[in-house]
Amino acid sequence: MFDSERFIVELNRKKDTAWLRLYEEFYPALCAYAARLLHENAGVEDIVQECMIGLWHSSLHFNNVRALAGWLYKAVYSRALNLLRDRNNARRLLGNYTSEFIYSEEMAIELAIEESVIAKLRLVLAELSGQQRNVMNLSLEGYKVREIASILGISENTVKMQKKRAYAMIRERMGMVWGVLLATIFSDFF
Amino acid sequence: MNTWNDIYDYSDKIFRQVLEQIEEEKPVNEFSSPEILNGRLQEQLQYDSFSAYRKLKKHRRRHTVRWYGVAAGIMLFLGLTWGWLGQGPDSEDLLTETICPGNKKAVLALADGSVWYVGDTVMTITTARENICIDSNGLFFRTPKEVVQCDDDTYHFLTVPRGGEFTMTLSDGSRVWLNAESELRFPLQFASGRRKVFLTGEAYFEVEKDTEHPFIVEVNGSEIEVLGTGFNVRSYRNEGRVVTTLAEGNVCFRSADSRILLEPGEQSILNEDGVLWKQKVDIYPYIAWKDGRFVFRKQRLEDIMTTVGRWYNVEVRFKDEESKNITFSGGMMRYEGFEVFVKMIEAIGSVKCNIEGTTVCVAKNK
Repeated sequence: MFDSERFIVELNRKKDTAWLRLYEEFYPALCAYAARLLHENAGVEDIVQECMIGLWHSSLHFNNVRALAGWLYKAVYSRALNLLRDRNNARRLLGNYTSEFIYSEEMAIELAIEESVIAKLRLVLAELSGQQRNVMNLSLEGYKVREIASILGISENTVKMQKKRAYAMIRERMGMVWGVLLATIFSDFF
Repeated sequence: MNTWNDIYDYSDKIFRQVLEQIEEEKPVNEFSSPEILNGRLQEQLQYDSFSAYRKLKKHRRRHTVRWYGVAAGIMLFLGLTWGWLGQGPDSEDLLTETICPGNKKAVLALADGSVWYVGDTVMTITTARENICIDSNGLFFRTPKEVVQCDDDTYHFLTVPRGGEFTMTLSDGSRVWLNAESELRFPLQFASGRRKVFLTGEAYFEVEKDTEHPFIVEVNGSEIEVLGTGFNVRSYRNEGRVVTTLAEGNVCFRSADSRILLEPGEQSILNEDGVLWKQKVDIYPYIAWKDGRFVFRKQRLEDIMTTVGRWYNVEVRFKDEESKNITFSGGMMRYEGFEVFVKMIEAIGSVKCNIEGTTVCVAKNK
């Protein structure tokens, strides 16, 4: 299971392994997020790298992953906002009064939540192995159990079993077993 | 209302819900439907976090060099040429940029001003008029049913950089293969009457037959008119000529002053002085690139290097005139490493290629 406290400590200490993990988890999400805000994907990697470089050179320390995520998404949003404002200004100067749609901060946070959900899905799928990952990927592409069985050349029961195992593995990784148990234990109290 | 710091935990909560929904195959909203999720996943997967992190390390190294400058001087003197660089020995980062064969990549600049980097990742771009989809076959359009056919000429640009190639299908079904350093300007819908596109660089066209609507490729002031056919056009600025090679069908090449009709197996050349002529050729060397091959038939090394340089995105310099004029006949797959190409010409042509970063210096062996 991912030790987020150790991760934050090592990230603040600018350790290589922690920073690699930072990129693995956040880089693709932040790039896709920037592309969504800007309505195009040109230059998004530069924006995200600028944020990362800025973070590296700063003496900013985070107390937890929540603060880190908040800072990162907000930094990308600020940069994207500036870019959009510059573009709109440039257009106005050229006599073009149509402006690009700029997301409000509230909307931008909702979009960031969405992107963060996808990032978690991506990470969790990457940890699955072989058959389980194949089955999950095909399932997400919309194939039914019957179709997956024929594509992979295995029985439908095997597909169902692999799916079940995959979900169990994912839940375990997310520490969800406890979560569900706790919810059922305490549900009488709420 | 959520704040920025709520993102991480809140997305955890949503993730659990989404997971349940996809397991039970009961999506509650659009976001948890498999197609949307998969699409969003692919959007994130196209970004390479590992190479991005390597770039950060390179940047860090450049900036910490100043601090270690003095110590470095001493260590260099002692012969330890790599130990001091920033975070310690990491031989991968110290290698000069490797030369890679080209791959599928292009820049799509739409009429609405947005710019998209496209490659071999599956994606869909939704504009006001239609959906632009990219998959393993390249770029194509999917027009939503409610859209009305309009006559205005909104054109988009598809630009392929050096080291790139890309394929696309136009709205009439015609296919275009674009080679490195090329650009196609095309409309989303062909206006009534003519099907017209604009090209710089090199492309192979497979045009859908439509006798009522001639297909026109405008290239550097000339026009190539076709009815239904397969042909290659090569018009690079630094080569100074427009070469059109016809594989099948019929083509009429019209320059500013003259025009010529081509039959299959014929090639027209318009040079810088505006002189237009045609000749019979073996077409294969001219179109092999679209099948992923380099095929040279008695070609001068200088010309070969112009073509090869575009694909591998390297700069080639010749140390002597002799090496420029060596002729080669041969072929190889474009996707093979640059070393394969170098070995081949060094052996056959008796030349030596010195590679420094992305520059190649060629000299005849004495």
